[in-house]
Amino acid sequence: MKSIDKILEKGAKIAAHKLECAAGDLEYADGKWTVKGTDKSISFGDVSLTAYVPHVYPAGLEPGLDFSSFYDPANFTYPFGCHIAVVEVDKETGKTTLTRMIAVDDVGNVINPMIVDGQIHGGLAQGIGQAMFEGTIYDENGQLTNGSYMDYCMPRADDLPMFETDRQVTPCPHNPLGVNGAGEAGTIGSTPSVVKAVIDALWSGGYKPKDILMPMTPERVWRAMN
Amino acid sequence: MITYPFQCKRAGSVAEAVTMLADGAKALSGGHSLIPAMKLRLSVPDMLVDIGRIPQLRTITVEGDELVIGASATHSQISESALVQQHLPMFAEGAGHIGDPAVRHRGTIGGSLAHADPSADWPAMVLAANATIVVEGAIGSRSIHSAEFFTGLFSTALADGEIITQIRVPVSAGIKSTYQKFAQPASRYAIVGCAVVKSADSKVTVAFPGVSEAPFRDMAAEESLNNGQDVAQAAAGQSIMSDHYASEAYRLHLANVYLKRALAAVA
Repeated sequence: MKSIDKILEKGAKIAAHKLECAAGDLEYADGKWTVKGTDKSISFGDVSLTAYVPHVYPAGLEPGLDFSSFYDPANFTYPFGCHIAVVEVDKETGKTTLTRMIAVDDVGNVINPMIVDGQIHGGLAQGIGQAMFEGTIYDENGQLTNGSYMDYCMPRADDLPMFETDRQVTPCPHNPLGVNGAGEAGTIGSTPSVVKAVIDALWSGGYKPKDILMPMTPERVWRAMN
Repeated sequence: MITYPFQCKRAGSVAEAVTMLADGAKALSGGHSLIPAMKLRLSVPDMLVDIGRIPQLRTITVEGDELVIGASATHSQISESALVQQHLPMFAEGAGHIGDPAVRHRGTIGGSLAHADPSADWPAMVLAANATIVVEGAIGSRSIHSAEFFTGLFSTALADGEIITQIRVPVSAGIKSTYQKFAQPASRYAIVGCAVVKSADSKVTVAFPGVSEAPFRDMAAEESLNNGQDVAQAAAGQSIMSDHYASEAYRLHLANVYLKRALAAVA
């Protein structure tokens, strides 16, 4: 947002030169600069072309229309949410099947919903992977023994249920966009919710494990029952 | 992950393949075991002979009371074959759970048997099905019963230069068959599988992959079952494998669970 202000300020100087008026006489709306009280205008596209092909250009003004801005947030952002996992555990083998994964996250204002949904879905898969499948294993010499995808289990589509996601929007008060971080939200709640669901399933079956190491392979879950 | 340089020739017939293989070349079928081994440089052949496109090795037929499967039939071809589904559903079911669709469209039954991975599905299925494996080499053709075919970890009774041409399986009315698998989630190979075939007069054969360093018929379990007794312990007397995914005790436990499930499926 700070960069947009800088672009509009410099763009007005270029527009004023093209329209032969003072920058202060221009107003910007609907993608163009217009001389106040007239129908004389120039579009943002024309101004940006001029900025990079500066043949008719204000003397002494640097070409280009790129700006970087730095921002020191007044506080961190705090996305929050609730993830619920529903699992079935095969008592004979310890194999866990994740039957439902529900995630409701609040990441503040959402600028691009599709990207946020994609981040949440990917994050859930990663969080579930950590809980159930993924883990590097080293031998006593420090050699990685599951260094290929034939051994190291990445979660795949058929390991996962259809995710049920929703969101609520509480604008963040610490930044002008009102946004919170969304990239890791999916990984934060999913891992403990899956682990807790398996432990809860075992308790409801009469077993009382306090914890199960991740990834909760079938053997680890079976050992928690035997 | 890059192979050493090698040459490859495509054989148009079994006779041509056998001639080409006579000077130490290695047979290539679906390439789903050999090529990865070559990429890891665990296998370093100078010459490959592609036997995957020999038409007479890809057929699936019934001859008398035998189901005859060509060695280069792919897993997906077998799993989708109406003849296989009708005469030996276990083969269709088991083939349908190998790897993933891409693997099933390339990998072949003959390639899997010749490779003899202890955790592969086909070896146990052909053992339980009492199949005979027909092979051909420079000295001619011979038949090897499945019970004599698998000789240890990745080793078989195939002689140098011999290739598998057919898998012949006795089938009869009223047999039931099943293959149940507990798959390694990454590779989808069997941590434990159990193949059971039950004849019309209720005699069963039982075979396991994944449990020991070679697939095996569980003769002790068969004897108990065929005498009307429960099986006290599956895989009795076998040396049980252990790895980072499944310990010896857990594997043995799974063998018992999967025997029970397979027997329930053919009850």
